[in-house]
Amino acid sequence: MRSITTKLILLIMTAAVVPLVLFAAISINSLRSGTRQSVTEGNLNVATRAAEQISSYVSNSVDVLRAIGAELNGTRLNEWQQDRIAKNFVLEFPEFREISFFSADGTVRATSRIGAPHLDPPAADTARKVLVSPITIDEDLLPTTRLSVPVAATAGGPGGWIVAELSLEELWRMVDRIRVGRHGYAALLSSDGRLVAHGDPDEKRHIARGELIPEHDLAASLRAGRGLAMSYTDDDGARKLATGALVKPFDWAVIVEQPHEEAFAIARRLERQLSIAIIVALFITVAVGVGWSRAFISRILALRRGTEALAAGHLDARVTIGGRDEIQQLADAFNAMAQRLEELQESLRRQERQATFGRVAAGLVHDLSHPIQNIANSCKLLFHSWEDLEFRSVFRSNVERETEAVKNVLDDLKSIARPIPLERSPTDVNGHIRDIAEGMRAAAGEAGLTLVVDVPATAVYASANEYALGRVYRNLIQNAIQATAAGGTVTVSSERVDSRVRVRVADTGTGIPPERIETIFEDYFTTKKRGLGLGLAISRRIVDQLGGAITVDSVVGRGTVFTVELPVTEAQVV
Amino acid sequence: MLKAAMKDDVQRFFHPRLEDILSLDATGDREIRVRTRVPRLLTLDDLTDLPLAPLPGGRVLAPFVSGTVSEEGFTARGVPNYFRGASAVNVVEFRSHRSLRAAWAALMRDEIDALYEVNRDAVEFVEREQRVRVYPFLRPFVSTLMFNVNRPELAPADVRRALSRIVDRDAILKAAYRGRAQPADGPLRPGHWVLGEVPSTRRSPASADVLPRNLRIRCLVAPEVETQPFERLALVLQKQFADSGVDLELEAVTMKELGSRLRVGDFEAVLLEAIGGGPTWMYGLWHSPSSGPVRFIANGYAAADRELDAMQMARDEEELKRAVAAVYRKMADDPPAIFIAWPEVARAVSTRFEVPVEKGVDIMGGNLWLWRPARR
Repeated sequence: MRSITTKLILLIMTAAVVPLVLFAAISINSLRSGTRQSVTEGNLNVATRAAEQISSYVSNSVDVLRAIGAELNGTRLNEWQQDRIAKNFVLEFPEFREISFFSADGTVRATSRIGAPHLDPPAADTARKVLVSPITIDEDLLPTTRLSVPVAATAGGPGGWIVAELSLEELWRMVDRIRVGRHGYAALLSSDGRLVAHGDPDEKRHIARGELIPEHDLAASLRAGRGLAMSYTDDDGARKLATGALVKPFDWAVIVEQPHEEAFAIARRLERQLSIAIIVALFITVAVGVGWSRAFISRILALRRGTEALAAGHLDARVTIGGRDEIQQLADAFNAMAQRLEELQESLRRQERQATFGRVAAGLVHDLSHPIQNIANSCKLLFHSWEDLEFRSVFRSNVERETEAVKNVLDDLKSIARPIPLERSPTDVNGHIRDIAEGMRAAAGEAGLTLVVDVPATAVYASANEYALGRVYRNLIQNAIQATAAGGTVTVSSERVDSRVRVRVADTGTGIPPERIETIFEDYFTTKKRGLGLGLAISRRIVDQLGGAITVDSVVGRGTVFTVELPVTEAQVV
Repeated sequence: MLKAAMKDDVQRFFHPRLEDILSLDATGDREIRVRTRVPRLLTLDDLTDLPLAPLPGGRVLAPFVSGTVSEEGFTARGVPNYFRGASAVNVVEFRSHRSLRAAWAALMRDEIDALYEVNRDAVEFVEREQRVRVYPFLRPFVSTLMFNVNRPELAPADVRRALSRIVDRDAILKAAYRGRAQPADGPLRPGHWVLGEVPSTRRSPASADVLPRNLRIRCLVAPEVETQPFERLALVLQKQFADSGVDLELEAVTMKELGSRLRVGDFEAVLLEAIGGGPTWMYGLWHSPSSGPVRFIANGYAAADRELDAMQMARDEEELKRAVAAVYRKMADDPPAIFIAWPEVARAVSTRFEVPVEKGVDIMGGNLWLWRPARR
């Protein structure tokens, strides 16, 4: 059985804590995934914008070369004029280190260089489309690429190729300008996996060394058309979030990297704050729940204590509970009930006292009226037969007997009210019961009963008060005679069992109903129409005082057996 | 040591005023008495410019002395008894690399500690590297468009003066040097102590009015010179000249061809870097060969000989300054060349070293002996 405390805790856990924990788990998870998605998308936007800018930068350069090609090819300028225009363009667009114009057969038609061009035209069989060479880092540590733009033949000129060396320093600046947070940088990888630019100053040496760094997983993933973002652990063991975008159509890749620690700092701070808030809420919920439960349970426990006190007979127990709720109403009802019970008990006691007094009074009247009547009758005869000596003797005998009877009744009352200490001495139990039984054989005979005395001849001694024990025996035998109809049998027997001696008084009378058998040894209990009902109560007290026990077995309609059991003593009367 | 140095033919060639010295006597720990034929201030200039070899057992006047020399480079050894204190660096090893990138990679691999010179185009990149500090400085060379005054079209001084005035130096600095240079106003580097007020070199497009129509100048250029953005500088000059109606025809030549043609005067103009040392170097470069000791370029210029001679004869600083100012005025009035820019380059040093910086002092040429390993 679960206590109400356990049930209340389970209720709080179920109703408050579990939902709160679930809410926390869902919130933190949502916050984490949402923030990660937001940061990733933000970084991805940065990478995408950078890729678009780079692509636009190169495309613009290609457009410039197309325009230069058109001007050089279509304006029927002579050679030195074309050459001068090429030189002017290289000054006007300083990102071009060299601009050279070749005819379709590879002949130099104009160049911005002083002397021969350093660039070569595409091979004759090259498809006539814009060619962008892989990015290289030149001897001056600067990134460059070579652009070859076909110039179509027109009426003004035979066409050919515009070939230019494009310095990509501007890309460095673009990449350097990209900062995500304090430690998030961008990097540009060429199509062959070479690091071309990196915003992190510590990584620039990789560029200068011209090393082919291992292909970045994200770049490979991008080229394979897979994910745009990934997390990885760098050489220093730091987790990084990398997002990337391809620079189309050049197959370069812009990677934006940011340490997890920084990228998700806000999310972690929010998670921490949310966790703290939820923990505090949990703590408050549990504390309030426990406090409320204690307050609630304490009132119920107060009710329980009151109920237990009431059950223990403390009808004056009352419950004091504050509040204005059902529990308080229950406490009021309990107190009203206890008050009512107390009043009823008092009333019952009063009635019982009255009944007991009536029964005692009736018993006294019964027990005392006969001897007193006998004494009164004898006194009446005394005036007439004063001279009769024999009468005087009888009178004396009657008065003494009846006075003794009155005295016995009064002694019984006295014994009930205040037991008298018994003086004990070794008593032959067998001899004593035999004498008592034989003394009552006449009374049994008068009742039409057979009195059987089955007592061993051997003496068995017990430490007892012979007078008191005699009252017990007489009372039991007398009750048996009175409870047995004529023709029945009253059997008195004894036996020694180990260190105890048992005396039984059995009858074949009406028996005692089970619901009454528990109360037959109580004071003033009687099944008879007359008498105080003190016999069995006095008998039990005497036997108890002698260290023995008295028990009863009875079957309604078959009879009753009273057993007196006393401890045996080896001592004998000297 | 001075006497030994003065006997060296090479030093006598580069320091002609040593001829004036009759005797040298040490009159104290820090005093030398010099007796000369004539009292010229520049005699001392030559004397103090002599490289001195240490004498056995004595205190030396240089923090380093030359060590081994090989094809890969050379070494300099720190001198323990240098009179200003021993260098914390015991040996300096100079190595040549095939390219700046190779040198840079070596620096990044900690194989070397410093780059002697970083190209201006790469400075922006190098500056971003946190393991390296960059120390910019002006090279002691001035970008110069030198005229051959023997050529008839360039013989008139007003033509050369007009050509000098049509040049927009600020635009050149921006387009050719990315701003990493200072405009030049003469053959002496800016801030030299002998310089006072110098004639303005401000651009004056109206000067082109005096130029003959269809003036065409052939200019030699050696684009392979790595230390100069000659090609872009030449193109910018060409454009500025063209804007004023002058056709500057650029002719690319090799360094070898350039040297031979300059010596015989086979040119109209040449774009080169001229040494920008002190007055002695100025005298040697710009005085006519008839009286000057050193002349590599036969450009026929002698207009400033009188002022340069006066400079040579200056007895004191004020007289020297007045003479230099006169040379500048003469060169502005009758220019032998267009002095364009003093390019700025940079040294790059690993942060493993602490390098003291003193204004106007090259961290390698002047303060190398003060470098200290950085405390980590």
